[in-house]
Amino acid sequence: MQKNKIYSLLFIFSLMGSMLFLNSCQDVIEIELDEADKLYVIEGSVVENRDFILVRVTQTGNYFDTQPEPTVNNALVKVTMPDNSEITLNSIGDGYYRADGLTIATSSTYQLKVEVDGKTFTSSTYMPAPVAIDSIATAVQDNPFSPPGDSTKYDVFILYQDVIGENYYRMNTWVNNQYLSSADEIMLIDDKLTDGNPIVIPIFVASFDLGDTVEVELQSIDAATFDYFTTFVSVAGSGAGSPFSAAPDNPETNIEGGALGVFAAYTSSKKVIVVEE
Amino acid sequence: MQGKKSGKINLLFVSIILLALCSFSARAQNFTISGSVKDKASGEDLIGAIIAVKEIPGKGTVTNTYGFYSLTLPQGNYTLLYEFLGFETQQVPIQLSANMTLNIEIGESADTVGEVVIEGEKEDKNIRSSEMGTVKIDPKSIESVPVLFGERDIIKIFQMTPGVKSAGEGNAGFYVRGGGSDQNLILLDEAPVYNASHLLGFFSVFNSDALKDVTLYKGGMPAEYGGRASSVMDIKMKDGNSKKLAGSGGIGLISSRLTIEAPIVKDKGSFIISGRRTYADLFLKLSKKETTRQTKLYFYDLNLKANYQLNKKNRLFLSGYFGRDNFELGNAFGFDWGNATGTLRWNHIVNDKLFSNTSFIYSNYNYQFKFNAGGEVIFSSTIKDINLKQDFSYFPNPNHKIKFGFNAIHHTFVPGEIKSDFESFNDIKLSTRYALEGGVYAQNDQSIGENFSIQYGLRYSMFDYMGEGSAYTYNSEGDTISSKRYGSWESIKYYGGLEPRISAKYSIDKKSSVKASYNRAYQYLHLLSNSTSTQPTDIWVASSNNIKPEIADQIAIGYFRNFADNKYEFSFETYYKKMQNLIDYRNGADLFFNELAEGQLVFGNGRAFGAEFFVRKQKGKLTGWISYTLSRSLRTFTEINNGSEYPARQDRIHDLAIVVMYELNEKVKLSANWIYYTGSAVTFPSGKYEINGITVPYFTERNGYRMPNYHRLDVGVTIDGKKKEKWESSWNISAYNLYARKNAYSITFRTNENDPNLNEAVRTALFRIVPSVTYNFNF
Repeated sequence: MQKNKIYSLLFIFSLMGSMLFLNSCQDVIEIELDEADKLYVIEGSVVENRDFILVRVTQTGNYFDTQPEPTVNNALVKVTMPDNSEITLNSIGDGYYRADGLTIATSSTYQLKVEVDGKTFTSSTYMPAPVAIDSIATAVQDNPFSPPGDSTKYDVFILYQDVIGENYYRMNTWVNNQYLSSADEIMLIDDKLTDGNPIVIPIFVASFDLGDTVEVELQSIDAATFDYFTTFVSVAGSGAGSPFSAAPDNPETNIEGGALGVFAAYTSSKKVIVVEE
Repeated sequence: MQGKKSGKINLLFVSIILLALCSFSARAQNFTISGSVKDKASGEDLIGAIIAVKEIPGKGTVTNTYGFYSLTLPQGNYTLLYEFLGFETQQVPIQLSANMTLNIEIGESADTVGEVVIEGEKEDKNIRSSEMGTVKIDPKSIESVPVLFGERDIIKIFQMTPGVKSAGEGNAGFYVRGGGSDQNLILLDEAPVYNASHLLGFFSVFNSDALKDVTLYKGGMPAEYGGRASSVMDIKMKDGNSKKLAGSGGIGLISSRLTIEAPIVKDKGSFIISGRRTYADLFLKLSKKETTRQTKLYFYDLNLKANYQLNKKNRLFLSGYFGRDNFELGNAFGFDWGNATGTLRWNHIVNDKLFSNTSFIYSNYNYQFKFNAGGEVIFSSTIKDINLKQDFSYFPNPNHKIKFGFNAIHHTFVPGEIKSDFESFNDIKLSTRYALEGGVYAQNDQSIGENFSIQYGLRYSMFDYMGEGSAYTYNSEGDTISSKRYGSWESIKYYGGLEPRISAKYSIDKKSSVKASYNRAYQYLHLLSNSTSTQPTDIWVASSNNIKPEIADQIAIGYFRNFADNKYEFSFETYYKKMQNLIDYRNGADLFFNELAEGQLVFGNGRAFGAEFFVRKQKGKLTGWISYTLSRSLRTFTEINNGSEYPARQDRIHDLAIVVMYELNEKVKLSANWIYYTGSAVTFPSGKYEINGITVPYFTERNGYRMPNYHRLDVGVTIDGKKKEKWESSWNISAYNLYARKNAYSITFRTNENDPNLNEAVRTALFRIVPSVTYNFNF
């Protein structure tokens, strides 16, 4: 369902209320935060049409530390492939572990095992059948609140056919080869209200200018990965901690054993369009 | 099951009869005076007017909600005193040798500030009545209190009294004694109002111009009320002027109001129409852009009421409320929500001791939003009630005031529906849910001797969650494990419980008393909200096979004392409240449009305790109050915070409000409020890590941090215009947050835009200084 869209519209609505009625202001303030015990953080991905698997192991740091979080390079990282073969990933520095020359199959399950410091963390992720973007299109955006004289903005839409049954999608966007990398720019869509339908969906996390080259990636993901990123966006996005969001909590991880992070498999279908009149 | 139910109900009726019987014991040569007490100028019924007997101090009665009273005394000669705060006391000598009817009209004191002609007992009602944990505010008495945007709002005044906390800056939601904001039963002419706020909670739906009387029961809740665990806010609309055409209104920065009232037939019936609308969106019409011109952003309220005295014994009332918020962004997006309530009431004087009221109530709350994405998609949700209520007041003798009755509510919940002409969307409707909620109660307000009085009552409440529809069961992870289909009216789950209510008063002397109370309340409807602030999309759900009724038990004791000839009233109350079956959500809960939303819920318990201090001065040039609350509110959920107890969001330890009104001269009134409270409990990160190149905050405990302490000063001045014979007007100029403190509405955490290694905390302050001007008039 286009829940993100609804939430972002609700958010615009809230913002509108604030803008019209309130002389609100924002400033950076000093706050003292506790220093929590360190936890391991695991981030792994298996991607369709890619012959390697990449996993990163890091640790949590203090919130206001200006140093990057500590990386972990002495872990034993293994992935069990759909054919039950177990491969070991090699540490390549900066917390990364990698295995190359693999055949990645869709509609398959991948299992992860990370051993470090006497602790074992495991996870399992399913790569669904691929769903391809059928086409990509643009249209002039009709925004009543863009100031007059402001240059016209454009929307980009993608069209795809949803498959009957539960499906979960993530969409990533590049504008002029620049990846839209913030948590607010991650689009997550399920098909609860649109099951089996032809889908037309705007890339509502951004608006585009004439001449922009826009690339959109449609990923098919499993329910656990969807849940992870939904809860991830709610705490890592800009809406986190506002009175319009729930009390924040750590994202729902699919990693067992007490680590943070996610092990995600996804398919990938990309289309590019240049915004024209 | 069936036998057990009726057994409990029978028990209740036996106790009613017993109560009634003991009152019949002393009836030799007694006669009854009954009638009504009304305002001489407008013909409005006076609620809670005191009828005292000069010759027998301590004997007397009070008018009920409809201005009816009944007083039974031995044969003899008496002087009756009819008293009401701000009104001139009227003395009526009577020779009581037969039952008699006395309909009295009393007028406002010529000079409300000056000396009161007769020193009545009215000013020490706080000491004499066995009620505790109640706050009563006459909407007229707070007209000059400065408020946000100059919008008079009765709920915001209650937020400045002890034990009542606002749900946030400028918010019309409130927490009572550590309970949730959905645990307040808000009744408008007996009809429950499901969403009592406009525009994201900044304004309450109650237009003060149309209100007569508002009472908040924080504890010691009388047995006649039921359905919410924390408090009851009982709001009575004006009946309308039955003497002459009158009107009032105001023009403000945000909204304008107009109220018209007039007799239907003089002294027999009257009506009142009161409306309010905001007009921020009218400025959008000036825009050059068509889509901007098509944008709507407003809310309105419309209150209507009419009453008619059919004959001496029968009177009918019809009242309604319609309010709606509407927000439309061109054709792209629309969002509107609102309440509609209607109440038809029949007052019947069965005899001079027994008064009956029958109400038929309709209540509807719905919201919908639509957006255009190549086709129109409409989401909507509704809750609808049909409610029958029968109440009796019985006045056997001056020592007993008995009330008993029942009510039955049929609830219909349409949690969500989608209609679309856009091919990507399927038309979907979540299962409609039905429930029957009922209550039977009896209570007695009894005086024992001169110094002791006790109000005791019992309520049996029941809730039947019914088909037609499917009921699901879930495992501890929230996944569905089974479902069963039920037929129409077939019971899916039945709940019932006894709710004892008792409060007692002992007068130490004429100036002071001690009181104690205990009450239990069940709540069968629950508000599911995905956010910490109230939103129109929050959904009401019924107790079901998965959701148990919330139960609150509260004990309180208090000390009440008046000083300086009742010029100052002081009260101290302390309470302890235990709450069971409270509701929270799993992390990342998906409540929106989810047939299986119940699986996303977790259940736990809470406790709240506190002490409340209150000093009020109601007479003289300087009036106002000081309210201080010291309190905690804590929660325990197995699934949250590793099962350890944590502070609820509304756990604000210190809460202070000072409200001062000063009459400079006949024309100019000054007023000021100062509010201070401890910051709400809040969840902040205690660490960070990186995923997808994005910094993610790491949380270790729920509500382990505090927002900064909050305080602000508001000031206002009301200047009366020239008094003309038929036109009175005044200007109200006020400033909210005069010293422009940046009180944190929220604190969010983010990575610095320029330095990805630098994290920062960002404070959002909603209102710095907010000036406002309102022009008010009445004729």
